[in-house]
Amino acid sequence: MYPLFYSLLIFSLCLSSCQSKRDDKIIRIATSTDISQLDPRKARSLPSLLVTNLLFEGLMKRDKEGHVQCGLCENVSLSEDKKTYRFFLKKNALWSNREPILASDFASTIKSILGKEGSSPNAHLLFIIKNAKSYYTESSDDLGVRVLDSHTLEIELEQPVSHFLELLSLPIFFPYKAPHIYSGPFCIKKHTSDTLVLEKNSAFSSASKNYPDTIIFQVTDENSALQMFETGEVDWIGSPLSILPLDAVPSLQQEKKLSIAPASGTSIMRVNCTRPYLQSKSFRKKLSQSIERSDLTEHVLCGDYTPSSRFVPHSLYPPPQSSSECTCNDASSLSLLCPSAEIYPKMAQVLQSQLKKNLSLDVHIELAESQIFYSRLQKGDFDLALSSWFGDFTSPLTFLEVFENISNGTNSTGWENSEYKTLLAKTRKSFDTNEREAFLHNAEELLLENSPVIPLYHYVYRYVKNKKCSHITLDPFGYFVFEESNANK
Amino acid sequence: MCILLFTIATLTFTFMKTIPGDPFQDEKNIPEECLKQLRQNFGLNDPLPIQYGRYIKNLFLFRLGPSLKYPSQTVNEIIGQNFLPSFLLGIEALCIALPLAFLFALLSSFFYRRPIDYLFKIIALLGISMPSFVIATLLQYIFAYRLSLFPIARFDTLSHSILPALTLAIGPMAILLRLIRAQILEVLNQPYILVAYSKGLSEQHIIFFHILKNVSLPIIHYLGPLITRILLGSFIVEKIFAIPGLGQWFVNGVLNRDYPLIGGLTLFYSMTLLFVHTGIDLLTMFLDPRIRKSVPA
Amino acid sequence: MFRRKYIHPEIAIGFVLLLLLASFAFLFPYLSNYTYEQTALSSKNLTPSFTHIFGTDDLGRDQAVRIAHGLQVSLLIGLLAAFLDLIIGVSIGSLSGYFGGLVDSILMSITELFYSIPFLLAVLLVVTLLGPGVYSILLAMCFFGWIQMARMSRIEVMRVKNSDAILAAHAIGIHPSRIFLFHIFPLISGSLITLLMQTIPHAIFIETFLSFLGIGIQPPLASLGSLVSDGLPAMRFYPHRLFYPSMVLSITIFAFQLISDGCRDLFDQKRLKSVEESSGI
Repeated sequence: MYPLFYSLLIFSLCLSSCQSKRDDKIIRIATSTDISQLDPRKARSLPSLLVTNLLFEGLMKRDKEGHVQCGLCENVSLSEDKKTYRFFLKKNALWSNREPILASDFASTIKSILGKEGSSPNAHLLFIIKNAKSYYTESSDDLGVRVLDSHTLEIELEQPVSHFLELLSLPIFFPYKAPHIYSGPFCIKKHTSDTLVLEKNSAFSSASKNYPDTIIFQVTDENSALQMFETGEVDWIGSPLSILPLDAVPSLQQEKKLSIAPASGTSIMRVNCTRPYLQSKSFRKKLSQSIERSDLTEHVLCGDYTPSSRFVPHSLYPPPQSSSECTCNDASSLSLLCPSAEIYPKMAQVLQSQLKKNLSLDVHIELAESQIFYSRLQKGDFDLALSSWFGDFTSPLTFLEVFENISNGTNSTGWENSEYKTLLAKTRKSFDTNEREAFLHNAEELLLENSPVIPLYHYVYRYVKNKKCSHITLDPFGYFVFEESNANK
Repeated sequence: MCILLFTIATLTFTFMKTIPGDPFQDEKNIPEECLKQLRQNFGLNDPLPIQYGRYIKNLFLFRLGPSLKYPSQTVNEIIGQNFLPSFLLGIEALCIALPLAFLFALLSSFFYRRPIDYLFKIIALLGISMPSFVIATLLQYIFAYRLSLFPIARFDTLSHSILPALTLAIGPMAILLRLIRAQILEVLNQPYILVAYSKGLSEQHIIFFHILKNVSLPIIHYLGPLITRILLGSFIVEKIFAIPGLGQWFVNGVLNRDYPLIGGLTLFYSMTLLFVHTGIDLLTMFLDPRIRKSVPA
Repeated sequence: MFRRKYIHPEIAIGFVLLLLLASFAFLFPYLSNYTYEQTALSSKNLTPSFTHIFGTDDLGRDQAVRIAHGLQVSLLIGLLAAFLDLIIGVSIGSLSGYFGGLVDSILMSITELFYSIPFLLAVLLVVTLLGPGVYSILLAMCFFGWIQMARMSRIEVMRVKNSDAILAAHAIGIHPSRIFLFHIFPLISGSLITLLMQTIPHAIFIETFLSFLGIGIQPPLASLGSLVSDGLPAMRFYPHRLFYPSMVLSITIFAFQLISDGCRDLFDQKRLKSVEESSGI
């Protein structure tokens, strides 16, 4: 196995042309954990998704506002019944080993994910394709993916899905040929447990001068990362791959070194609607109203984040307006489950004192390390639970569909509503923008009215970068965007 | 020894299966049928006795299997790649701690109850009283960040390893210092030292041939816990100085419920400890004629 | 044993320090206006002043009260863990040493087993299994911390078993359990006390390590360990959050080490003396 690995590596290295490495073309980024999962079929966490996005490309890709545009395909056509998409691939797209990217590559990737040996935790995202679920569970034939010719691919869906093109920009839909063969702007040069080195892929057809020659992801802890940034050993610290030490943020803000980018994510407190006291909608709203969100963002997070009682981040999606009143019975004590990592324990303590002050409610904090936290969340073993939700694509649907069904593993609140479900189903089927907006607006109103989830604040990406990275920014989903740098103009 | 390893392996297996939490769980949704398929592929759906049998067989053959969280790497590879930095750091820490401890202890006992003695006693007590992560952070801040004498983190060159090795060495050095000093004082009171002095032997000769030899035994007894401490205390140092060693793998493995990784690493650590203890016992037997004589031929 | 004409200076200093620390830990919360969980976000990260003698932390809580509470918790954990270790370790070790033979072999293999399990790893596993909190930490530490005690007491009992006093007691016909309690234990108690004074700071340290990993005492409760690990990232910007808890922690450990040093001097002299006496010099 090792000889093969090395020969492939050397092979692909030899194929990529030499470029003179000026130091300002090497970007070093600090990360807090090792980025291990670089197979686009299996990537789940944000770091994995981010790096996979640099290594591979799919039918659609995102621009810097997060909207989709054509990636590997030149053109898309949609059938009358809105269920069948035909993609015409670019003729000059190559893999890093100089072979052309063909429609059959896409088809075989999808089949490998849905096959028995796939082992992908994301396989269910493909179930919108016709017969995908039965292919997965029973290995039946007639999957709705057809290769019409070498550069034409047809995908048929079970139901019309209006945001399907958005979904195509997610790594699960990227083509994957073999290990160490990449379709994106970068290749992996070296991968050890604490360092990941990416090198420019010369076979990438849209290779532009905007991309640095080398990107190095270095695992460090947050305090060492800050010191390394100040001595110039690292060029980028903070979101999306690591955390800025909170105590350093006020001084960084004063020195104006911080960069802020809006993020498609909200910090939430799930409410277990099956517990006594919490079944009352008005009590849940009272809980929501008695939380002083600005305290959380101003003091615990040192500013920059937006306190909000809306679930969908409104800087990215147009907000409707509403407010409400409430009368209800009070509970006397509740438990608050929260992960023991990052900022959550502090938030929990502040929330505890706020609820005590405003509602005379005794909140008992239960910290749990992450695996236990998720397991208890799934089982519904909590009264209130702190966590967050990040969207995958540019439609409020990515937030609202979390609470669509009780059986939905991410719901965990025991709340569902038939009108809500109908609204979301109509949104998926409708291809009219205004109609969709109206449905989503009503759905969000319904969600906030019932408050199975109490939003706290909207996330931003907060990071510090030096002059070398001045042309690199983040899109709302945390992916790197490489713009025209001043050096290249 | 094999029985010990077997028992440890069984205990680890029991522990891992009893801890709540699932390796595939995270915040985003995975439907039940996908979870079942994933568990099937990793053999987690089989009944417990079968999983146990497979586990023991694999451990026996040293086939520690792919890690659950990093399926492209087997546990063997992980241990192989990451053992070296931890091991090197440990050796460096020992090389710093032992000679310094001996030196300070000698000085301290020869100047018994004089200012130098008290100075070293206080240094030793400070070394024991501060947790290693405080020492690590202070050293990093003062010597690497402020004074720029050493690099801040990572493990590329020799100078990268000095601060972490120093951090690891300070605690054990302090303990060793006190131990050796007490031993030296005890030895100094023995009649044979008086004889040696009265014979007119040089100071150096007395130190090396009479004092150190007699002092070494209890020190070697302590070496076992010392090595254990260095081996395991390295986690904090590895975290702060960004060194790719084994300590962080174990902690992350436990937190992620990565069963093969935990099983493999526990076995690995236990084997290392057993070897170290056996080695020390043999060394003691070799060095101490009294024990050698009492062991039946 | 206690009929000395003067008190050993190290033990005296150690005890005085401990007394001062304990009174700070248990009395100060009553004297202060603040509680350990009372957040006041507008007054966070304040440096020491008259109202807050050790400053405030990042949620505006008074550091002095939190350190006092933390000291309570750390002392509690240290003492309890050490005593439990003592009870378990001494029972196993002395039984092993006294009876010898098969009992010795079995108990020693069990000890060897626990000795070979990497201590911190096992503590980590146990705390993860039982969930974080004071009791699981205590349990985890006791599960694996008794080994030193067992080994020490076994060696000591074996040493003392054949001395004149014990042989005489046997000859008179005193029941073994009474011999254990009233004759053997007083003879070995010196080394045991010394070891106990070593075990307490060790236990406090383990708790500190667990807090650094995030599975120690859970907020809003505090222990010295969790206060130190919280103060660590703030070292460059708000050094008072690291300095005061570390100082109190170091003084506590220092005090215990002083006492253990003093005890060792005390009982070693006695041992040397008894060796001289019994060999007839």
